[in-house]
Amino acid sequence: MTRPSTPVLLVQDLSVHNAQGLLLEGVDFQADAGEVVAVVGASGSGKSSLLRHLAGLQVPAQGSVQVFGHDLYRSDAATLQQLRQRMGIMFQGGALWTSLSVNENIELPLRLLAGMGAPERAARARATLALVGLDDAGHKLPAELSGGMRKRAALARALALEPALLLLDEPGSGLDPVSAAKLDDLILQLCRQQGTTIVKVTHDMASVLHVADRMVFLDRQLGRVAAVGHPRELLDHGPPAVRAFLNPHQPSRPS
Amino acid sequence: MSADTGTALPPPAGFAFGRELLLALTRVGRRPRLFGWREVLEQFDQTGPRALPIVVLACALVGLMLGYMGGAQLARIGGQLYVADVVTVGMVRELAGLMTGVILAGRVSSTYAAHLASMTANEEVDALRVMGIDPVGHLVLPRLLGLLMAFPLLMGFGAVAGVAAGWAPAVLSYGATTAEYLQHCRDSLTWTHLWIGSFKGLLYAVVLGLAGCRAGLLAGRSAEAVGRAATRAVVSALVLIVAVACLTTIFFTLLGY
Repeated sequence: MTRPSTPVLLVQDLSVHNAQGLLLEGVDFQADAGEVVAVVGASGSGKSSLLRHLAGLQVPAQGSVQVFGHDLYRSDAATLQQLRQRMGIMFQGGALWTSLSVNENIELPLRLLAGMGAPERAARARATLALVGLDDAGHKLPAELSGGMRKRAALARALALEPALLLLDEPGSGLDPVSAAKLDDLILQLCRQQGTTIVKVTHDMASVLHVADRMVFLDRQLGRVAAVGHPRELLDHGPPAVRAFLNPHQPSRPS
Repeated sequence: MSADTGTALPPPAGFAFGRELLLALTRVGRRPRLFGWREVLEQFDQTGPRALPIVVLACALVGLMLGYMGGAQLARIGGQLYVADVVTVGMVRELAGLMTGVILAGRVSSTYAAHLASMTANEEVDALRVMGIDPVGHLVLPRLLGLLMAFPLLMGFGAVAGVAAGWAPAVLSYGATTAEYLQHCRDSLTWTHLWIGSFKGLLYAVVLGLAGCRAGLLAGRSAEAVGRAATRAVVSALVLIVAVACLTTIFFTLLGY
């Protein structure tokens, strides 16, 4: 695949904080167009906080996040608005707007951001829901959906504006294995057919090995990125701590 | 996601909140078709009709109290017929708005704060921000406009209820006739009292709406934060309403109105 010179996402020397203090520092990695980057690490290693920084929701103490060549935290309001409309995010809990039906959840950004008319919005909502296997759930409120369905509805909402960069926080958690595998296939399909760049935070190593082109491993103890590379390479030749995490049932071999 | 709040991109606070609101209003002016007018009507429906019985009841009780207290003092100088004036001016200019504000501080500010805080805790507000949808324009403005539509109506009904309740002490305890009571009500009610009362009511509505919405949007991402936001909204709304009432009364009195 031909890669453009400017990465879709470029993270440089990023420090990640939460309310308790510094979680990560010196985070460097990038995601090129059409790549799936998996952010992996133990619980509490700062994966979700990192994702919030990438989404522009949390100001970094240090470093930069560049999206499509623009610094997310130093761009003017108009540029930031344009960047955000090219990004989609699926939160771990779905974050669907609870007072709106699934259809309305999907149609709201289409109305406000894309200025689509009602028939066009409805058609797009139907198509996106079909993509995630929720054809008949459009009229339901989020409270009427199961956890897995809520996740898929949230993914449909994130996909509706056809983002070039999609951020996913634990997309497979709470899904049954079949649904999780379908989600992985959908991720691959989006990357291969539409060139969508995907950054996903996950614990699911099978999924990482299946879909990810690049893996960013966060080490909770070091508070840094311990390794970046292709998951298979890291599994076979990565640092011992990374291999132990990726394959906890195997004794660690020297690299 | 972890419940980190420390360095989250801050929602607009203080003057920035007001600036965001003005920007949102400007956007609505430029592209009114994209604004959630349906949400404005929904907010009006939730704020207005549902609060009407309690507002009318509270204002009627205040009118009754005002009638008895005013009558007792006026009777000492033989001016008990002026109970109607005290009740009418008091209710229209000051107390209908104040009582409506106090009741809506408990009903509306807390509801706004709890709802928005719950949306904040569930990352629904973050979802708006990430997509580039302005939470102030999308969540605050419809509530504020709905409240601005409902408040004058509630206040109007409250004033009528208070004045009507003032009939009881004037006629039953202080010897006025119904015709005299009504005549005094008509004579004492001027446009000045009406516009000052309405102006104050609109100020109270803005204060109530902003106190509730601001507390909700500034809440942390936890369940406890929802309760704290509701409490903060009610307390700040009440304090601000009383402060605004006091300042506007002094201001208009000094101006000779």
